[in-house]
Amino acid sequence: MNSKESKALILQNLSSAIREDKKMSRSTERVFLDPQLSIDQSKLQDDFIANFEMVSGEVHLLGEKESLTGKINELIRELGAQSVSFWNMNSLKSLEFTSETDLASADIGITGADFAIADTGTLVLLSGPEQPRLTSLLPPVHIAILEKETIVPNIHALFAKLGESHENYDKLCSCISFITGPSRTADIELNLTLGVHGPGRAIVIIV
Amino acid sequence: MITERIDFKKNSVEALGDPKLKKALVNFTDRSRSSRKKAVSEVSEWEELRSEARGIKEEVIENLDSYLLELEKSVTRVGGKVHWAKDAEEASAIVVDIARKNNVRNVVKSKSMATEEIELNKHLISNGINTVETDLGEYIVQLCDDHPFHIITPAIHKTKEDISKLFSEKFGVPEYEEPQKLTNIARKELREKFLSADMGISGVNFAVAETGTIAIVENEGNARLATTFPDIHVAIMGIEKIVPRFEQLSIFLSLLARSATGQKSSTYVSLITGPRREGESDGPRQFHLVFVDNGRSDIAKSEETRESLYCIRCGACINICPVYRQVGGHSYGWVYSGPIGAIITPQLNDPEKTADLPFASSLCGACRDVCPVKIDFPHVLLSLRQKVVEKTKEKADLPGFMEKIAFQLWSFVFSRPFYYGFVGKTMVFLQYFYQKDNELRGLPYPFSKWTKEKNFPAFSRKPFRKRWKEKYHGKSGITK
Repeated sequence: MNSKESKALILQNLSSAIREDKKMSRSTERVFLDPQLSIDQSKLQDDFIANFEMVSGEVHLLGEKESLTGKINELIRELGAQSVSFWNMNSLKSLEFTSETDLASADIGITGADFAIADTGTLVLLSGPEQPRLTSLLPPVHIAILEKETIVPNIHALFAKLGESHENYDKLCSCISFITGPSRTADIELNLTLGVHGPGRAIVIIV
Repeated sequence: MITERIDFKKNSVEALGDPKLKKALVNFTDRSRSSRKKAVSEVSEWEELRSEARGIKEEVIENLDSYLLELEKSVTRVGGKVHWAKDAEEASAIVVDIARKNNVRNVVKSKSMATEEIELNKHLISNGINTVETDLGEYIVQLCDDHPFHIITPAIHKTKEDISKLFSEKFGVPEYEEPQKLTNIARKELREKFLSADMGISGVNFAVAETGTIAIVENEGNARLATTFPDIHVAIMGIEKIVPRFEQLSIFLSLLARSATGQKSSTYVSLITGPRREGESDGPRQFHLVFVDNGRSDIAKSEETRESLYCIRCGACINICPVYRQVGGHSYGWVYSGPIGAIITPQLNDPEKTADLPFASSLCGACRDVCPVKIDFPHVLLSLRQKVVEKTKEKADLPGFMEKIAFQLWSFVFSRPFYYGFVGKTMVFLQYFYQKDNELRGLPYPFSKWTKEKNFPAFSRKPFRKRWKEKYHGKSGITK
């Protein structure tokens, strides 16, 4: 039997399951749960940091006089990295390193973050030509640069934001990644281990 | 597919005889229960989220035909391809066909219960396609040629000593016992598989009808790798996984992680909308979505059990279940275990071969209380039991007849205080030879059927009613 016949069969089975006049009508109105937008930005930043650190993530706050480039160069040296791969972002133009094209051999991947969610400690990365997905995934260390204005209170607020930035979801990018700390598993006797497939260290620099 | 009748009792007896397993089960259920409880208590609007999710699922299943068509349209619009499979065999055949047409040799898989259900690995491997499970737990299970023990933590029945020995045998490494070292070995082995894979297969946690987006929730990053690195991504979904609108994902994502593992959010959530776009340097070039019915549209027909399709596969019902805690996952005989297995397995398979499962519950209702979409498990179980009993009634067998007589007798005695008192007093004498430590053991037929499995509490010389009377001298005894 081919896919077309199966489709007809499944649809027929489903449409006979419930009488048409007994069906609930499809609702079309968008409903957003309380996005708690009244929370002030410094509280959001504190919440994000607390929650990201709770899942073994690391957070650096960029001081007023510190330069982002300086901070990242320092981190790369500290980590003893040989090769670094990063997104094509203005803020990374003057790094001491050039971006490694072979991601599988890079020691660190540096990305931006389009949003962050305070109450879960989650980074949100959108895919695009200048924002490859693998930069935050293949290298053993992921560093994300987060602008504090982009932190939203909760996941409901995030979906409201995505609606604004993606024309009511009509133009979604191919992949939206939520990242909450380093890769983890508890598959061996419930022992928590990090870095099973993705990065074992997830570092955020808040600017 | 289930080929032999599932003998829940026999499987349970085997599981109960394994002290290592018992320890693992107690440890695992204790921990998952308390972390879930904590995570849920942090969300003040938890009950509203549950009601909201339940309402959405009710609406989805009632309109599933039109939502499936909408999803197909959306996926096609963003450059993906939808395939319809009426049963397990067809679903596997579709995936094998995609692989063949694209000369695929190596497949990496992330965890998906739907692919377990359709036995996809078996089909791919028998067609000469290398297929590797990449979730650490599933990988361990696959290396042992075993079956997952739990839908969230598949290898929870293996000790670190087991795993250490296994890795040593398979990869020629020393027998490390530190879980972190074992994890690092798996990372190295599996990373090579990812880099040489030409097809990635994933499950689907939610599929959004209006946008054609699929959501995949995980902690390890293997699903991200499997859906980003290879040129072809095939996602397999049970047809009930639909969420109508994109923003509704926020409700389901909030419920899923907390219910499943007690996390505020799982480490990774990927919202994938079609293949890679122009200008992108990674992501699959082909995106296929396979709709698997395999009995689900039949469940939609039954008003009594339709809610089985609301399940989001979080596993909270399994972790809370007092029966699962004792007998473990393999006793349920198929890919889904615990309360969800007890209701889903009989509805997706031959009801005669799975007739034990609706009875694998004490009907305590703990599963209903933790379920994020409020599935009324006891109600569904009773309805399924009724079907089993009606079937056996047709056969008019002797045990069924005896049971009927026994219950009629029981009902007669228990509704008449005089007979109730009389039987109690008589039993005090009759029980003399069978009594030990205030329990009755080894009773003669037909009561032996009871005492073969558990002891019966002895009848008291001084019944409760008499003690009550003595203590309160006829007063009610209820303090105000």
